[in-house]
Amino acid sequence: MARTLILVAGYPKSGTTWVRIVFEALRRGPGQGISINQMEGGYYGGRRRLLFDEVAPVNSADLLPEEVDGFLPEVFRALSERGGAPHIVKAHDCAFRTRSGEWLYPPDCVQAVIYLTRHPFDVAVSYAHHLGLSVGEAVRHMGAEETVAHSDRRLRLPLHERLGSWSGNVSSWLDVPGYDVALARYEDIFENPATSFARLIRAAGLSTSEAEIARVCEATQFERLRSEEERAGFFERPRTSPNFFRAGRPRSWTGALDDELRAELVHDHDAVMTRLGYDAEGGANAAPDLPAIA
Amino acid sequence: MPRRICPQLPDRRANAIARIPMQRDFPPAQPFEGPLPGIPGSMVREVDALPEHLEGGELIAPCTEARANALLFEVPGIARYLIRDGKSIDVALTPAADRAAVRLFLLGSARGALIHQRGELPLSAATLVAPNWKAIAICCPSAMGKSTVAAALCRRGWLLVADDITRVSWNGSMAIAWPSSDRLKLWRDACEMVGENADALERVREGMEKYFLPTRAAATPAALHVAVRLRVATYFDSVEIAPAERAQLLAECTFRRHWVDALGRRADHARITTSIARTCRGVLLSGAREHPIEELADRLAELVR
Repeated sequence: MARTLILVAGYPKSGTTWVRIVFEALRRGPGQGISINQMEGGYYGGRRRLLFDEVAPVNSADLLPEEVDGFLPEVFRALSERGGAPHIVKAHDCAFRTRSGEWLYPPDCVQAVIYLTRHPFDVAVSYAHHLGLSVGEAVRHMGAEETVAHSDRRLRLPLHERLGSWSGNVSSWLDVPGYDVALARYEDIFENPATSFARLIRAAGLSTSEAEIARVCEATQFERLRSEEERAGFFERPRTSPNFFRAGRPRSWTGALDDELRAELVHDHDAVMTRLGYDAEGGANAAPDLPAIA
Repeated sequence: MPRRICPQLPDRRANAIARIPMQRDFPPAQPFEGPLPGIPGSMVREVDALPEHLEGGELIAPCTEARANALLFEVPGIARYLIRDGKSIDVALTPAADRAAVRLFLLGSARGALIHQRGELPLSAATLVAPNWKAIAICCPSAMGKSTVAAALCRRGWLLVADDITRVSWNGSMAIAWPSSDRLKLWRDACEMVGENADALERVREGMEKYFLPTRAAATPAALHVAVRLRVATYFDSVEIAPAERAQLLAECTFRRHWVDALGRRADHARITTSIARTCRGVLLSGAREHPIEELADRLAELVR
């Protein structure tokens, strides 16, 4: 089995789209234009449904979520055997086993996992904006262990996702054996993108020049992505959200998250926040699980 | 070889004929026995068991094995299906399987494989006949809204030919779309979108908010006038495909295109897409999912004026 999948994973609104765009641009190599709407791969959302319906014997729209999960490990194995490797796969699911006992993303076809975290205060505010919910509802979502992002009433273009709680999602990936997981905090990448991406690129087993990393970092600055979305839209934007790229800056929760909701997030996620160096004031400090930034 | 027949084109009597309930489906409570809807001469049998592997076959996709003229696939917990020679489908149910789900995949993927084996074209399309008797195939992957817009068109008096997978053959002078369905599968929100009460409809399968919406349906095969490929976009745009590129469009809209080679049908597939492209227009229509369904229906209606 070819280990050719690079998972860019994390709870929603943790920077997975940004990092995936950077990885995809680096995978494509120098001389290629960078546009949020012209990224191949990703195999996330609607594109994951297309991949599924191309590969599996029956259409995902006729299957129950557990049945889709049952096919997905083999779908990812089929993807891993395709040309054009490595394949960048964006994922918000927690690491979990399907009913048959298989990991959803089979470790035997995963080259590396880039796992991203972001302070849960910022995640809550951004996630609320993303789903068209109140911030309080987003906080409840983040604390619910069984959260499955799908709809019973209609067929969404994206396939469903099993997120778990914010804490559960983080722990599932950091503590799971069998994957090579490189952890990165959104806040660190934001502060020092070139250095952070160089580390993540190495961790993923890719090689590229510093100059190319610098070019891609420049082209994928948050303001540029937001500007392109304003100009041309973004195909991954959910209908519930007026825009996908909202506020890239850390601590953007200020003014949108009251004391009570902050206390609820800390209550629900204190252990994992501490592990990642996220404090109750919304800051990101040094953390034992994180490698030092070179 | 597929039987070539000269189809009866829809005539003025079709409206009356379409009101007569037709035997097009397998009641799930009864054994799956008989011809497939829209494919005369085919035979479905419910069997006690099927082999775990296809003799002489190779694994071509998850739970799918194939060799020339035979394909075996399984949906765990539901059933295993063996499709042979463009003629027969044997289905072995998993104990306690949801029979409605068994039927769903029988009329979907198993039927699609059988159409491939006949050297015909299974289009991933909902097909309808407009009031001016021109047939249009609305091609797109799942979740882009082809059944919903088909329901909107049926409310305007169009006749349904097929939902999901349309069998298209070539009779030597025109492309023929074969009627196979007199109901559409719609999710609850889509039912509401077209003014239907989902609670009054039959559920497609247990555990799923998807329902069968009975529609007026074509009683006879129809000459396919245009194949339209829908694309998701925030704007409407319609592009007529050049005749030389129509076959490629049809190939891209083929149900499980990668099964063609494994079934030994590459030459047949190239032949039939090229033939159909001679008489069937091709159009790329951008604007699916992002606009009110009636507006999309208007755009489709314009294509057959």
